[in-house]
This record gives sequence, structure tokens and C-alpha cells, in this order.
Amino acid sequence: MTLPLASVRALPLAVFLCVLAITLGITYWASRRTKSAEDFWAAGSGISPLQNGLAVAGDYMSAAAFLGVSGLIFLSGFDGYLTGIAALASFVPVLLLLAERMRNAGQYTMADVMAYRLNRRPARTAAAIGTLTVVTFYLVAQTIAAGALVEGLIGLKFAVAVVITGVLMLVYVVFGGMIATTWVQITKAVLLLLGVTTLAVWTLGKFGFNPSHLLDRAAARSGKGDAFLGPGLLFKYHLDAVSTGIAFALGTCGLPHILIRFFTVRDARAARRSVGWSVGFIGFFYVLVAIIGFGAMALLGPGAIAEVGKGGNLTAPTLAQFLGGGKGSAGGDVFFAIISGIAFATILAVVSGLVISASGAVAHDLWTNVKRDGKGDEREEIKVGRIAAGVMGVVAIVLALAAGKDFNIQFLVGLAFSIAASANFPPLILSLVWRRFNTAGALCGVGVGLVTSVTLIILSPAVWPGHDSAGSPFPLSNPALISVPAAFLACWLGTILFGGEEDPEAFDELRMRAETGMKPEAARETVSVG
Amino acid sequence: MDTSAVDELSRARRRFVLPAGAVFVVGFGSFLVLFGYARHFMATRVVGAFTWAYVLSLAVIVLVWGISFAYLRYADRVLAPLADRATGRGTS
Repeated sequence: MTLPLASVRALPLAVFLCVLAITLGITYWASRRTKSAEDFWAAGSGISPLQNGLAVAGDYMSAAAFLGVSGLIFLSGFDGYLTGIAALASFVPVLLLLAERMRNAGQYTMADVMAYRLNRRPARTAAAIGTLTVVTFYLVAQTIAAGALVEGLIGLKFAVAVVITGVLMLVYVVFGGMIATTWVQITKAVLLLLGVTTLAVWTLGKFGFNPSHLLDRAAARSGKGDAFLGPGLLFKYHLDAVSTGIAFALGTCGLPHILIRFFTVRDARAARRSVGWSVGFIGFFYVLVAIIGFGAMALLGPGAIAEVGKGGNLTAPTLAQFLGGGKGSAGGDVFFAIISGIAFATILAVVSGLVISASGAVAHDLWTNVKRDGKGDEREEIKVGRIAAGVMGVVAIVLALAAGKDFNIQFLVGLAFSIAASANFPPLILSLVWRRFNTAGALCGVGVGLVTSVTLIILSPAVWPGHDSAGSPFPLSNPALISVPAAFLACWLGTILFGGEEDPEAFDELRMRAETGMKPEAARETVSVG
Repeated sequence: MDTSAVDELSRARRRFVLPAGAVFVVGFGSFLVLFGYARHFMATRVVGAFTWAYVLSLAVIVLVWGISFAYLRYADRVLAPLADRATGRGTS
């Protein structure tokens, strides 16, 4: 029987406590400014484009992106980079199709846009189910990652780490709402960009600032030669790369915690400018992540594989330790602790964003607009939202503990992205652009998208029939290539076969609002009252 | 509220989004296909130790930056004045 604090590392723990102090301070400040429902879910629409750009970038630059992608590059070369490039590419559809329209036509949730022109209650229920499913898988994955990371970094037990992470995210969301969530995200994005820049510049400095030398050394030390600098070491099938690319490029257009960020700015102009900032930050971030991943191979060599963990998740902190002077040196320990602390802040910020999007789906969609038929008052909505956030957090803690740290995290994240791309994105975009689209089509799309992506993942090599992928009925590790077209087809078939044209005037009105942003306040009243 | 102005705004938006979307789909799509199928080619060096995989990944980043920047300019110069006209705000 060991105490949970048996092997705690003091320095990382001190940095973690600093992160806690800063984020709790932000939450206290935010809680005093959170008065209305608009404050709670949309930060009072008072976030500037640059701030929102940082927050959106912060949502994308998750622990999976920072630790996961640099680790995957270290372990398996270029294939690890693909998800990063595809995640950045997803901003083109977000900018061209969704950002401004979400701001103009929505209020607090993705469902606002669909419910505007479709039959409100079924459309909202379907959209809320899509949101909650995506958030649950993503949240459990991030919570497991948090537990495993905190255990590896400071030496707390997995279960203790999961509970601490879960309780913290609840405190941020329940007391500080979207204002706290956004400012925690902004703080973390700035810290992460500074940390990644330092790490990458320092790494490059070891090679006389010549990236070509760095790559040469990485290829030579990997033992795989130039193949390490090309694709094919991670993805088994050719189509895997294509399917994974599609899942990340479209999945992000259906991720509720990203889409609700556009409600925190004032107008469409601010929404598109915030995407401009995010694209800049995220592109810069991924250029540096490649240097860190390849640099880790060049400097640490394959001998470090034991140190960085099974998934390579500790690659970046291990590299930091090496640069600072190596294990046991003061500089190495300090740099390791700082990079670890930033990674911890990253997880906390991302899970908070997920929890608040789920709380909006429950309180604003299911409670106020479906159960109360739009007649509930604002204080009740916030109260339900806080309770929903609490329940969601407890569910995530319990599921993460039940799944345990050996559960494949990448499998859950892939599932979340595929469901977002298949169940959320098709009905959302079609309700904005297709006049004839109707409620039956939306329900079919959400249903088929959910069922196809979940079924195909269960039948895929990662799950069926076990670790040995031989004999799994579905060969690809990611189902998006099949499930996204299937969901679009279901939207179309559902629209054609069941139910006729409904309320073309509502479509014209939605289009008008989405295009011009005419009176978002009036839109709000229509959504919640009429 | 001016409905014909809204139609004009929709058309102006499509004039940008359709070609830009096509460039994106072709560019990113061919990157994905090369990434999946042309493994040997992608691992070939172009400049120094930079392989095609690396160069093309950076090219995708530049493509995303380019499309975003062009859209922001287009939206400020063309779409915003049309939106103001449609809602009866602004100068014109």
C-alpha cells in the first residue's frame, strides 16, 4: 500500500500549484462578472477578435496536439504530423462556411441554428444528443489523458489525478462560466505558444539554426533513414491517411466547444477576424511542433523511447529536460517542470470548454427549449446549466476511472472527431444552405451519422477482434471516409422521402440573419419565445 | 430590410467561396492522396534534408493562410458594404 503522494516530484508540483492559483484567480474574477445567461454561455459577447482567436487556437492546441503530435512524430516520423496539418486545414471550412453564420444566427448552442428553421423540438433534441455524445467521448479521452499525464509528470496516482482534474474543471465552469473558461483558455494559449517557441528555438540552436541538419540527424538516428521523413510508418493502409485527414478536417466543423466560441464575440466581422488570428497561431504552432518532434529524435535518439511512454506523450517534457541540462540537473528539472505545468494548464482549459458546451446543450436546448418550450426564465436556465455541468463532470470522472489509463485514448478522440464530422456537421451545414432541407432529413442525418461512425469504429482494427487487427470486418482505423458521406446521403434521403417542404419563410429569415447579422437580439427573442 | 441586397450578398459570397473552396479541396485532397499512396515519393528529398512530405505540409499551411487572408480582405471590402446595405446601415 503506497500513499498517493509517495513519489511526488516537488518542482513540477510547485509549477502546477502556480497554474492552479492563476486559473482559480481568473475564475473568481469571472464569477463576479457573470450575471446573465449571456455572460454564462457567451461571455457576454464581449471577447475581442484577438482574444477569441487565442481562445479558439487554445481549444485546438490541446494536450493531444502538443504532447500527442510531437510524441507521434518522435515515434513514427511524418505520419504523426498528418492530424496536425488536417486540424489546421479544418479552419478553411470553418471560416468560409460557419464562423460568421454561427455568430449571426445563433445564441448559445449549435442547435440554435438548426432549430431556427426546422421543427424546433425534435431538431433541438437531435442536435443536443449529437453534442452530448461528442463531448462525452472527447471529455473522457481528455480526462484519461490528464490523469495519465499528471501521474507521469508529478507522480500523483492516476485516480487522484483524474479526480483533481475533474473537480478543477467543474470549479471553473460552475462558478466562472464562459468568461472563466475563455480567459483560462487565453492564458494557457499564450503560455503554450511561449513554451513551444522556447523549446523549438532552443532545439534548433543545437543544430546551428539549420533545420536541414536537424532532419538529417533525426533520420540517421531513427534507424529508418529517409523513410522517417516520409509517411507510412504509422498508417497501415493507404486509405487510412485519407480517412483520418477527412475526419480531422471536417470533424472540427462539428465540435461544439469550438463552434460556441463564435458566440463570445460581438459580430460577424469579429468572428471572421478571430478565425484569422487562430489560423495564424495554429499554423505557427504546428511548424514548431514538427521541429520539436524531429528534434527529439535527433537529440534524444531512439534510446529515449522508454522514457517518453507508450504513446510518446512525454516526448516534449523529456526534450525540455535534456535541453535544460539533463535529468538531475537544476536547469533540466526546471524546464521539465515548466513544460509539464503548461501541458497541465492545456488540459484544464480544454476540458472546461467541453463541459460548458455540454451544459449549454442540456440547459438551453433540452431544458429551456424542449422541456419548457422556451418559457423558462434566465436564472432557471443558468441554474440548470450549472447542475448539468456538475453532472457532466462527475460522469466524466467516473467513466475515466472505469476505463482506466490503459484504455486507448486515441480511439476515443478519433471517435469524437468522426461523430462530430458525421452526426453534427452535415445537418448543421445543410440547414444553413439547403432550402428544401427538413426536420426528417436532419433526424436521419444525425441518427445515421451516429450509428455508422460508432459501428464502424467498433468493427475497426483498434477494437475488433482485439489488438491483433487480423480479421476485423472494417479495415480502416477511422470511419470518416464512409460515415460522412453516409450521413449526407441520409440527410438527403430523409428530406426527399419523409416530410415535405416546411416553412420556407423560416429558411429565408435564417438566411437573411446568417448573411447579415440583422438584429441578433431580435433573433434571440424569436428563438427563446416564439 | 432590402431582400434584393441580401440576394446580392449571397451571390457575392458564393463568388468567393466556390472557387476558394475548390482550390482548397483540390490542394488538400491531393496532399492527402499523396500522403496515403505516394509514400516513396513523399520520402524523397527536395532541398537539403527536407522531403516532399515536409515541403508539401508547409505548403498546406501556407495555402490555409492564403485562403484565410484573401477571404478576410474580400469580406471587408466586398461583403461588409453589401451587408450594411442589406440591413440599411452604413453610409451608402
